[in-house]
Amino acid sequence: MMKIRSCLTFSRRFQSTSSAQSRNHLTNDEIRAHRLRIFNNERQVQIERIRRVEKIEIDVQDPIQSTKLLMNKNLSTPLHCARHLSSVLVDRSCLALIDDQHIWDMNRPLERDCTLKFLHFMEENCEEQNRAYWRTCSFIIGYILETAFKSTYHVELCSFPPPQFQAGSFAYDAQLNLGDWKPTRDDLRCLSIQAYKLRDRDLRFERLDVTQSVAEEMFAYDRFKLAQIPHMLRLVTPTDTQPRLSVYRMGDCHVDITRGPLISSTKQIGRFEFSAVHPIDVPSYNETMHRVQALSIPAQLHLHYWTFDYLLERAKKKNNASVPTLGKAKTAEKLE
Amino acid sequence: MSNLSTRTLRVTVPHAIRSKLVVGGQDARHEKIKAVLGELFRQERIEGYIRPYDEARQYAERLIELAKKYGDRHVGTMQLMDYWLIDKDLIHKVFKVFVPRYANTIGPYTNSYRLPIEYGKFQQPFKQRQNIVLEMKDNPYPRIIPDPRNYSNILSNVLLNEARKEYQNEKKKT
Repeated sequence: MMKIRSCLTFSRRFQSTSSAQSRNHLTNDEIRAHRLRIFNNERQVQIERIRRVEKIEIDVQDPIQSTKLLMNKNLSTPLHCARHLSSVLVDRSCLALIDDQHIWDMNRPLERDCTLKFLHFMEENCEEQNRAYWRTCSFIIGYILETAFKSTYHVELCSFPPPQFQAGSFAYDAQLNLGDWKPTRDDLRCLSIQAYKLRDRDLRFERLDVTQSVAEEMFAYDRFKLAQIPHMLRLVTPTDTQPRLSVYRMGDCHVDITRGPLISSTKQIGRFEFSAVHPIDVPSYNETMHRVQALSIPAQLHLHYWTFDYLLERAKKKNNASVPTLGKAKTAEKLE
Repeated sequence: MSNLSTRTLRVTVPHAIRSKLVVGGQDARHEKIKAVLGELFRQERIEGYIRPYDEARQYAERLIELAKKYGDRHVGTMQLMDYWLIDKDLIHKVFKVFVPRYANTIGPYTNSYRLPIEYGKFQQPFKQRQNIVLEMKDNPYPRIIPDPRNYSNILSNVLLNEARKEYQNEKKKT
């Protein structure tokens, strides 16, 4: 306990600039429950804003079958469209392509008449799907870090760098507050097993666009996230009055800020192995944090275990993707 | 006319004993082969029992070979065409469509693919017939065996390419 308290007082310098509430008395679980509660409330508010159910016409273009569907505006998601067509599309598609231009989450409601295509991991160009997959996996590392440790330890999540395949791994930067903890092989294995449990639970990823005030309430106990919020606000649609922040929730477990699309559900994770934990210096926050790295392949792709272990050896090296930085407002691009 | 031609047929000739195709002697056999040739040249992709189709394939190849080598002014070639092709407009098709199409290629001008043997489809439930698909090459229909797909952008291949580059860089340094 002493060890952890000294870490917090050391970093109190940074905390004074943001209005984070003190979290010494709260466990990670309670903070997570708080975030989820605010998310649920906001989601309820946004659903109740839909007064009338209007219909939109979706033209689904799939190489196997193309149909026109009549769906509900702001309520139906591409997943619902896929359910009308076939279970193959439901299981394997991770992203949707609207009007051949915009990448859309599978669980995000559709807003207007459009053409829809389903994207999966084995196409000719699957750059977007690969990036979305690794982004999702970084998101999952955040959840695992918050829930894997005993409640006497406080883990503060910071952010994750955009997915880069040259580095050979994806990562999450967090202030682990564990002192000089070096993970053993068994520790990493335990963390990986948490990810496999998530896969069995088949949790969906839902998106919510929130305003700054709601976001600050949601992340009231997360000082790093509070500092990032002003930099992540953007106007989502041209008709929007306020800049918003996109927040994703996994199942009913975890909420985090991330800009880009995430895949449809945790069922599509194949192998997921934590590879290493490296300390990094973050000058923007004046702290030394830990970068937790992992490697994962979607379930649709088959890879022999020897080849995966070879890639895992490579993933153990320190990932040199961008360190979390708080640039000037509107130009900071540290989170995807 | 092209100067690419061969003396030997470039199709596989089965080692099995050539059995009787139809009852009735050489005439009936020729009628059968003419029928198959007519269908093949007209429709460019046909399915049927392997024994007559395999033999007809050799005749089809030979006819196109001769057409390429000698052209349509040659008496002997025209007599053969006249005998083997019942519909005379197919003779025009051979010279006007197939010869220019295959002018720059040697080798088999037809492809044959084996189809799965389906039991119980015929009157005698235990009879198995090996059917094949005979098709002229470069025909306008979509391919029977699809084009090989490009998997170089899937995640596992992307990661392996990165690993390979790193390994080669390491090797270069040492």
